[in-house]
Amino acid sequence: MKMFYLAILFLAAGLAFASAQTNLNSPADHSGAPKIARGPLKINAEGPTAFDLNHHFVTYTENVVVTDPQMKLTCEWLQANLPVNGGRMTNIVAQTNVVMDFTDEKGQKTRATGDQAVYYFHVENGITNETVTLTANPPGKPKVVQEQNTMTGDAIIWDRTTDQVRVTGHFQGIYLPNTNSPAGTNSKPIFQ
Amino acid sequence: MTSKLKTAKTNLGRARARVMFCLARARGAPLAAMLFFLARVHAQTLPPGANASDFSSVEYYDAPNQQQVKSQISGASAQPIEGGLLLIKHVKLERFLVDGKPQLIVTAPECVFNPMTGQANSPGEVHMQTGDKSLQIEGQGFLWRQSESFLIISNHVQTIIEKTPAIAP
Repeated sequence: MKMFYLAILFLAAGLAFASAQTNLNSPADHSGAPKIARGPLKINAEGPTAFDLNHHFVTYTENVVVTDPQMKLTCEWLQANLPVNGGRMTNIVAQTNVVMDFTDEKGQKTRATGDQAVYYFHVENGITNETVTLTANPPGKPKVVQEQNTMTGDAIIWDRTTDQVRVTGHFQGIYLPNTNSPAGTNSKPIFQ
Repeated sequence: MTSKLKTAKTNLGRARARVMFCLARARGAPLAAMLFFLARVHAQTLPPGANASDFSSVEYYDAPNQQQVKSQISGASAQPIEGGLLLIKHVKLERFLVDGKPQLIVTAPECVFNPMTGQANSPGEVHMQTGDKSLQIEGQGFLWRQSESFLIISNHVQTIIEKTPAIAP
């Protein structure tokens, strides 16, 4: 299975994937050292929200909106674990019409869409794993769009510890150069 | 009366997580309150208009943790209404872990409580927070099923999660 690291892709394509409060150029931090808190996370839902305290999870329904300083996620259904002794949620699943919007420090907007997004947080042997994996029900594919540039694949994985994004399986990228640039006359996609 | 309440509380707690009521200082009707306490399923027998203060209903864990409170619903007052239900004012609903730490605290201006089923519900506003206060939730309307430890907030749910550093203990 081909793995394309989006950071490399963005360098090649001139893209800068949104990471409003993170730095793509900073060294990856797998040390497990505490990070600076990113600020509060908000989850709003129009419909019923169920808390199962025996099995320790919460389910939000209808026009679910998750916002934090880095991104906004909307979906129709979201389930998250409720840690028994408090602390952070480590497993979150968002389903149906999943849309993730990012805006970077320069105001560049990026949108990722799919049918399911899975957030996973885990620390083992001092190593922090924190990922968001976006997938879609076949024949659909998860998609990342930044202005006129588009990427799809079987799964789009955002590693939040390194702020790298990679696309797995059946990758397709379409990059249209900025028309204001000297090379902007070329309207053909360069990744396909 | 307090000692009687405590004794009954212990007995009921040992009797496999039974719900009970503590009605202290029943307004102008201490006998009625006591009867109400002893015969929880017959709350509708309270004299019409009786309004007991300092209401609480406690659920205990199953053995071997039968001494540990699992959940408690309390209120500033409880008024019997039709169908054997209670209208509870200034409701506080707490869910505890086996070690006694609070897991969840729910507050609402009022709710209707069914002593038979252990269900509480309200169409009004509700506020909830986890024991460590890392999660704050507000919404409109709720249903609490005591026996299942299941809470549903009906509409317009707003959650704020205070993020912890990205590392687990």
